[in-house]
Amino acid sequence: MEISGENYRVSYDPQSATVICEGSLRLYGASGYSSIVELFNTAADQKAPTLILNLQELQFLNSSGINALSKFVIRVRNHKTSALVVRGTANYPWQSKSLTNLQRLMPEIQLEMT
Amino acid sequence: MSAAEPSREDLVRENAELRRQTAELHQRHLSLERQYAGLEQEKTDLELIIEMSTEHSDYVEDDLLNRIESTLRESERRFRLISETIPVPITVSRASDHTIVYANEPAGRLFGIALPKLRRYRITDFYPPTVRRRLVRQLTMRVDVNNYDIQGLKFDGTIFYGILYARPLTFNGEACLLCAIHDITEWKHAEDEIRVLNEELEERVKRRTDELEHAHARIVKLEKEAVEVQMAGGFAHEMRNALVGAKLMLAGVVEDNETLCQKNVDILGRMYDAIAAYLPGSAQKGVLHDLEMVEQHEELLDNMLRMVNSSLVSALSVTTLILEYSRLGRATAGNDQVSLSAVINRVIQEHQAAFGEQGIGLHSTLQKTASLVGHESHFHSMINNIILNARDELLDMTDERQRLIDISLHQEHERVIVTITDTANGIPDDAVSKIFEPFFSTKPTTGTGLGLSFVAKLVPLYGGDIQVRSRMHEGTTFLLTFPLRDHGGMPQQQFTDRHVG
Repeated sequence: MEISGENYRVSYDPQSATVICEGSLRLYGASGYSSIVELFNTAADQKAPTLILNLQELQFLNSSGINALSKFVIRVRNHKTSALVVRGTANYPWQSKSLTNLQRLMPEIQLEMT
Repeated sequence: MSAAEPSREDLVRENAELRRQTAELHQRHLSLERQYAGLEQEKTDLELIIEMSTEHSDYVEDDLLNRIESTLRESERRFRLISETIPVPITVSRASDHTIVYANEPAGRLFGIALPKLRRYRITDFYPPTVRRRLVRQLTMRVDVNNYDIQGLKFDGTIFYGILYARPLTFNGEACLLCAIHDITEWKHAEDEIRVLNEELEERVKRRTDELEHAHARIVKLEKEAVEVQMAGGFAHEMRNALVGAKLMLAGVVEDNETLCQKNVDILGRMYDAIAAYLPGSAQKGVLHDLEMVEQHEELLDNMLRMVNSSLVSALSVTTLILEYSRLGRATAGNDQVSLSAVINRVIQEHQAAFGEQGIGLHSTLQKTASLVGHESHFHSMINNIILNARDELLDMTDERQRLIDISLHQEHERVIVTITDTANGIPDDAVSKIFEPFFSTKPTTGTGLGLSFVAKLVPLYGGDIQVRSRMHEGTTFLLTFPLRDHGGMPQQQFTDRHVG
């Protein structure tokens, strides 16, 4: 399952239960992210024991994007069935701060920064 | 028991109902508590999301701003690096008031002002009004300016030339104009110099071409003269031999007192006297008549022979002159001490009597001068030919002016100067430059055209100079100048040219 635009690509692999976000996500508002939120929901609703969110190639994420990501984390948390692993990188300064904040929504998140 | 009091069954039912309602209320309370807890969680989540979104925005904004600033700094650093590296004057001026907000060192040099000062001026201060108006118009229209020739003014008022390129630019957040000026002042000056040099070169080439053409014409003329002189010399030599032979033959016929014709008439007279007595009277008259006719013929023949003899003498004289002239090309300056005053006096003595008979006065003013080194005959020929030329000119005079030849001699420093002036009609302007050419004469029927050519050939042989000044109806002056230096040790001079003043 994959959604891509001019400068971004978001994919979900059910086999590995991994969501990968790449590029620069600069879509406008909730409507702009609706298809991506749908993908996130699908991934969360699979209720895999361990769900991986790989953001290491995501250079830029705007406010609407972090909103969609937060809702994804809440959905996973609320299912109480999956462990969530978030993989990020310190190469993009916003990840160090914003991804850590995701733990406030779901303290059990396993954050792996490279 | 009254009717108003509830029965026991009623109380039990009421109690059970109350218990059921209490249980429901309790369940509802529990449900509301769960809903409340859920709402509390959602509220917390939403607050967290808002906080996270806000913080995320802050991080991203900060990151973006840092990147923008970094990019701007890098961009500016690159701009400065480029503008300070390239040797092209670059200015950035505000669109609103044309004030220079940036300029590189070459711009400072071009405008002739230090950079900190330059930034207090407007870019339009350095352009003349026409360029200024066009720049302002271009600025207003935000149109690029390319390859635009300008003539600007430096701070000190001197002019510079440049080719202007201008672009609208945002600099430090303001609408500006970026100007790059290719300074072509030196090139312009060099171009001007090249143009002047080209003109000078063309002038020199033209002058040199004229000189070469003149020299070529002179060479051709000299060669022609040399050929003519050589041919004339050869011809004169052959003619002279033939004329001498004829003269010798005539010498036997024409004698000073009695010619062969007269002798023949005398013999015939004596023969008639001897036989007259034997002739009949009628025949005597006829013989006498015939004898008179023979005498007349002999007299005629005698006159003709005398005229032929005279012509031969004259022709021999001319051929001798031509022969001498043709030999002048091989002549060398002699080594004798020559007194020019003595030479002049001798020439005067030779001609004074004859000139007197022709009504020509000879006057001389001779100062004592140093001796010259050379052949006396050469100096004699020079003076003699000029005087004879003056005589011929004076004889041609038709008016009643005095016929006079004035000769003067004096020394100035290391030069001896001879001046020969006549009071004749003068030489026409167009003839002055030709009088030294061989065989040129203003008197084609009487002159040989060689007299002054002799002078022109001999003067340079002694390092001398000859000038002619002539005024119509007033006379002509020949000025001969000879240096006193000893030319004996110098290589023999070839005949070069004469100077005609």
